[in-house]
Amino acid sequence: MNLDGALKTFFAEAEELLVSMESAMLRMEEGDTSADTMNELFRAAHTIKGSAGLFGLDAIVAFTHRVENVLDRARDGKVEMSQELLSLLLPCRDHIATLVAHAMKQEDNDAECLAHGQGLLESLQPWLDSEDAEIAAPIGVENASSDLTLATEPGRDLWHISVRFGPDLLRNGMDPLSIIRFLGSLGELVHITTIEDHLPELALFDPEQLYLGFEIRLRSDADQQAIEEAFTFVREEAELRILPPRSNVDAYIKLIKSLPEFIHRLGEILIKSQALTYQELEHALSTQKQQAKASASVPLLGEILVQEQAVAPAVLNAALDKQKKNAEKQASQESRFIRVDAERLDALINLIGELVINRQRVDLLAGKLGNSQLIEAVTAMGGFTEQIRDAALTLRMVPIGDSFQRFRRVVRDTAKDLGKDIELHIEGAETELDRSMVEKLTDPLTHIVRNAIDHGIEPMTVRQERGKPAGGTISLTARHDAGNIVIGISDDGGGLDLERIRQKAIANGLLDETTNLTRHELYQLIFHPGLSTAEQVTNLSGRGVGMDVVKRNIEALQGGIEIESELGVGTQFTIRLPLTLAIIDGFHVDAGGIDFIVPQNTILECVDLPSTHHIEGQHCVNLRGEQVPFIRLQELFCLTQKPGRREKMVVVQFGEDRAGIVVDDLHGEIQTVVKPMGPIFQALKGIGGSSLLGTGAVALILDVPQLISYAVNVENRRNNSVLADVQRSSS
Amino acid sequence: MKISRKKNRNQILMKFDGELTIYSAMQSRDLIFQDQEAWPELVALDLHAVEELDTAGVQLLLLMDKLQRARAGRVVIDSSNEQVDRVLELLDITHHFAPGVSQ
Repeated sequence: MNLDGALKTFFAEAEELLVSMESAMLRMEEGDTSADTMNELFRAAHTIKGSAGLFGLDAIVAFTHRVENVLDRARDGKVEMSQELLSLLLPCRDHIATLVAHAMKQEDNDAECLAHGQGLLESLQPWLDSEDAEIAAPIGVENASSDLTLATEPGRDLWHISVRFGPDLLRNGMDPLSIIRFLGSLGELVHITTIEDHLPELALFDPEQLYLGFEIRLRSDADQQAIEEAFTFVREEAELRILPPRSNVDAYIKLIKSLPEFIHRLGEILIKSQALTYQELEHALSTQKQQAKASASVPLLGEILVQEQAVAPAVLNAALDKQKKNAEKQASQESRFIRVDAERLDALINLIGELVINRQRVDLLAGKLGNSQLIEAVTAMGGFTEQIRDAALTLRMVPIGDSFQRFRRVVRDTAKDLGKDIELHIEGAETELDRSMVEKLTDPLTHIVRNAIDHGIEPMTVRQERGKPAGGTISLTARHDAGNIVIGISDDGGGLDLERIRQKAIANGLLDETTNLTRHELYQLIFHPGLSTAEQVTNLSGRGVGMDVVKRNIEALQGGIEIESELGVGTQFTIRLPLTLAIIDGFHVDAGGIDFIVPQNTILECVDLPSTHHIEGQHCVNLRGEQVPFIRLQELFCLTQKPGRREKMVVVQFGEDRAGIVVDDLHGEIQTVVKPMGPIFQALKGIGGSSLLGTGAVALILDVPQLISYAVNVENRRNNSVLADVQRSSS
Repeated sequence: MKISRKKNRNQILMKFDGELTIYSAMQSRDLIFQDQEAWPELVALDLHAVEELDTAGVQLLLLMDKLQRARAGRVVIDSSNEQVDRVLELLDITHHFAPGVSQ
């Protein structure tokens, strides 16, 4: 049973459609009145409704249906897409999102939610005329207008839907009954013929296989696409033929000829369902026979019928043409994208991880055996393993832009609430990043953006006094930089007031009066929980509340965050993250008999420690004139040092900071599959994960950003105390 | 799914109890057709206690009908419930199982 699969697809699709609805509305609000945008918006609502109907998610169908009606009227120019309407439609979109979320969690919609929905619908009322309101109310009840045409031409104003589903439909958890019921919600099911001709003998009968076909006569105002959408989730395996209302006889004859059952059987069905009269069928069939005898090449039956009956071919062609175009559009989209369950990708990545580990094992064994041919083969295999790894990792990469787009809404809503005029500027939206990271980034980014709007950008009057443009700007940027992604969030607001931060920190007991901190260190203070939770921090440009959480989230992703700010000019946050957390290139070292892995992209160089210029009394070396603090892994993790080794130092960098990590031995480059640490070890500082080596030994992956900040802090503290000593002795 | 049978020389009454759906289709097939060779001319169905009927269940009913017709017998629905009736009516197959009609 795979119904869950189809449902998951629906939720994923709904999520994307909701995003596209939102972005269309925001563009419209900014003055985009193009038909394309209008259509995008309408189609999104329409598709959500259609798909929800398939799964019997009635609450979503009922609500979205109304919204869709309003959009339809706007599309037809019957109502104007005013700012007022847009600001009503945005909450409607949000309500659909809520309904979808409830459905996803299989929660019932509570009374509050229902009342909210009802309130929204009532506020939409002025944009619905009475006719629409009628259609909107009871779904599945035929409306008056189609009855009129029925009176004049019985059986001709109906859609004819002929469907033969794939044999595995039932096994895949779909039921034709639910699709038929959904069609019923588009109008009135006038007649259904169940084709049971394909039921086999008992011995050959598989109870989980579908043998039935259906000929459906439907009276509906829906367009062809809406009807086709009922079959969205089964289209690949179904043979679907749809004839629009008032199709002429030849279309039906064509249909008959294309179906697998006997012609006469289908003829009967069509006559029974009033699609054709007996005479029309007889005539068409006999004409074709004569023609076939008369000429060697059989002319198209359709041509004869159109000539003979002079039925408005243009109308038919138009309808068919539209159908064809839709099909083509669908086909081209399908060939460009395949929707894959994230879990399947994760499973693939895990397997590739195992492959990488095993390849190292083979590598090791080949080296021991010393067989040059084997070594050559293993080396070649290694190259491909790397390529496979890289290719698999790119599968999980998604552009960060989708996540950035969300902030248009955040900015719009928050700015509106605060009565500010703020423009969001996005750059580098195409920059790619591991999908799982994108999700975890949303919260911290939202927080920073909200803070920027709330406290960063000054009120209009203040801005004007300061000679700035009244409208503020917030920029979101993304770019790749040496195996990292760098995300920038900047505003042209008031900037951080260093002196205020300092005072606040002293008041909270984080600093004492005499401590000298660099600009950089002062900025980092705003990430301190002690400062963040302080009561009212708006005076500090308000970056306080929850910034410690932001920093923690970023660090959990092995990343770092930095701040640059100028008072009165603006503030820039820079977040630096590794591209993926699954498989990385590492550098294998050991200290005190324990294997460690340093992520390759953080390494600047490796040096021999005794040969460097050691700065007296400090954990610091002079590296070509630059002072670099270092830490010994043995000391940090309390390991016993191997005697008689010359210590090596791996110089690493993260952002602006660099530090040395002192180890016993360097073993060289290695591909590393990162296994996250178990919950017990999550609090462990300096270790970001673990990995298996080719020998089967466990290696610990160093969390370089944490180690660097540790080394830098320890060194600063030592410097400060030395400074204090000097001051004391001199006074 | 449970099926109980009452049988005399001319007819068999099969009482269905439970859901007649894809989830029980295999089991239902075995239960329904176990004595198919020995079915008399008239097979009557009591579907009153059928909790759910889907397309897989409908197929089983239609197959019964097809097999019976092939040997000049019939399957009729003796009693059913609203849910079953709605499905059969929606698919327009009630005439297959109507009493007194033999096509």
